[in-house]
Amino acid sequence: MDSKAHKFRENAKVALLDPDLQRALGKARGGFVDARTQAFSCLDRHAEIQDAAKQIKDHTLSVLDEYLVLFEKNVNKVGGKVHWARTPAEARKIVLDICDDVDARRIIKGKSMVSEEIALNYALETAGYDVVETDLGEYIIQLAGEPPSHIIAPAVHKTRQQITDLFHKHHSRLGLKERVTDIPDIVNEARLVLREAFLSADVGITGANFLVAETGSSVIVTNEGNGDLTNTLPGVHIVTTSIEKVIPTLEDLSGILRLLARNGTGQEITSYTTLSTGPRRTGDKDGPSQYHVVLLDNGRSEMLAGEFKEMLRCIRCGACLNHCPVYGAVGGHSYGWVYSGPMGAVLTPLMVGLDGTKDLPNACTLNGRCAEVCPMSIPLPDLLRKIRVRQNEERITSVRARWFMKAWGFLACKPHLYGWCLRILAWLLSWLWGKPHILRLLPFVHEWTATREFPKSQGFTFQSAYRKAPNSHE
Amino acid sequence: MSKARDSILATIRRANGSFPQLTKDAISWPQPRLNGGLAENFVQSLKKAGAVVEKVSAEAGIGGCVSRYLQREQLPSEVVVSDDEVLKLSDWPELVTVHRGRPATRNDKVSVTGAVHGIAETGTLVLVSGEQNPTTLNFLPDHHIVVLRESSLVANTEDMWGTLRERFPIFPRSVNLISGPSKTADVEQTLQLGAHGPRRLLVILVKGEKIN
Ligand code: SF4
Repeated sequence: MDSKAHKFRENAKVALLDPDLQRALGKARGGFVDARTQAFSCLDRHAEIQDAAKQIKDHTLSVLDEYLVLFEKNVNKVGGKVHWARTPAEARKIVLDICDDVDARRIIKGKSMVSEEIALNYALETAGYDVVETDLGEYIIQLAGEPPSHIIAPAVHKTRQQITDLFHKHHSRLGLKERVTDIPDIVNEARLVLREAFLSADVGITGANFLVAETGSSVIVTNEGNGDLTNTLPGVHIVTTSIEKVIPTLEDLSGILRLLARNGTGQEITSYTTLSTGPRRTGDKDGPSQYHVVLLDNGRSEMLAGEFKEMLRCIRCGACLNHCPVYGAVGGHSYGWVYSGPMGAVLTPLMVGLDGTKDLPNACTLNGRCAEVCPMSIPLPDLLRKIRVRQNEERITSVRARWFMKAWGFLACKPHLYGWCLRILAWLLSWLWGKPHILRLLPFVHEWTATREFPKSQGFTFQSAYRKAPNSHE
Repeated sequence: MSKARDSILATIRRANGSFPQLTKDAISWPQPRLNGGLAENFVQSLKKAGAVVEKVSAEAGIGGCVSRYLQREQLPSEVVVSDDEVLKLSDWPELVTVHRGRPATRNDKVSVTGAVHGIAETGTLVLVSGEQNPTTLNFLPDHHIVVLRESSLVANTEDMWGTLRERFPIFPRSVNLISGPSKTADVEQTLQLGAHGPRRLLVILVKGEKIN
């Protein structure tokens, strides 16, 4: 999918006025946060586990090449194949070639954010394949022709009414003419329709939450069971994933799993955690006869070298989205690409370029809730700030903002002058209060006063009030 | 695409070249303590996740337990049973038709499989694919019945990996950690059982040690 992140401002405005979206977001907001709090209330030694998770990832990243080579070796050993892709285009070509090779017609998919990142569905459909998403959320947005709006709950922006309408529109031609309005009926109808897809598919594509180097396994963590039908029923299983997903051992998997579901859906563990290792073995009565892993780089190896390395610890749990006030207000589509919320505001500029994504890191209040909840201790606000610095260096930030920053920087280094300026400003603002027509002419003020009252200034600064206070130490 | 491989690995090596390699030696994963006994924890967690748990005192009782479940749920008296050795030790009531040793098909309503381990911490069943255990049995039918020996319970997954490594020098194609029936919350964040996998999960816990 092409990035529409350059339209963040417009998108956000539309999103804020969309009653359906606001209803859907309102429902999700509190739910995820409460579920997470509840899930952690009964986890023994949470802080220590989180610390070990960070350390294990830092260790893995510091010798990433060795673990990737080991993973590849172990996949080869059981008869699977690892494919390396520098860019989304290379990854798409690899998948297309495999599908072409086996004369596939129908392809089913389990949820994969890397597949979204490389816009795989579009490529496959254009090549004439029948592509069916099987995760219920992904299926809903596929019918709607939309990208996911959340990394773990792709259809979180849809209301039940909208899903009813979508199902009615698309399932009528399959003979399912009745409108399904209750949640159990909606889920059942999807089950019925997708069953056929599962049983007739030639290729199954899933993502991977983790890759275990020690065994050469790809791991998926799901609740619906669609991922398992996808990697068991068709003759070919393709895993679309990326290089930073690798972890050293099975014990490390056990450790990190304690954090993933609790942070995402607020479950202790999801219904299904599946380790897939190679194609079917001699004697096996089912399972795919081909197993391919596509390892995508797309800028990740470059990130290793620099100040954004810590972002590579991300396990895509979704907690930062669920706790972000900006995401909660404007929803995932406003961000304009596949990753949204705080992690998206860091990743999107790094993956699709600073140009054209300039509002993302700035649409953040730096309140820090995301960093507080992140299980991998990723300092998201710091990373967003670093992107702002880069924008400034590369002159992507507007001229006005850059001048303002320069002026402020100059003053901030001269405390006396700074104090004087503030005093004048405080006095000026108090004089201007009640004269909104003049107030509006001041730079930056209009954005604030358009929807709010400007607060009245007391006419003096905090510093001067502090100095006058009876128990002041000066 | 070995060009891509070389170039990705080279970029990684270049990037990491300027940083020290961090060792793994000092890292240890703390394991959460259990509040009660293994079986108690296991059963509670599974029930919380929406599974049904029954106990039988010996392998011979498995068939009867399955048959009672079929009647209670008003299901046809027909099951597909994996070749797992624990299931071979069971007596099967005559009125239950038992299909053995084949993968699941679209018409199978109920499957019965064995599990190699149970994890008390999370109420998780560990199923391993192989000649005797087709994976489709775990996901395609509406009702999945899993039989587990109480003696196979361990506290955490960490307690099991060592055993699996020993038992399977070549890691099995599919290791399924199952912690409840299939579910989804994709419609308005409301939990609904039976998304794509089994709608119901019955766990039969067999008391006592394994008899050889
Ligand atoms: S940045 Fe942290 S909180 Fe956000 S998705 Fe990644 S791991 Fe989860």
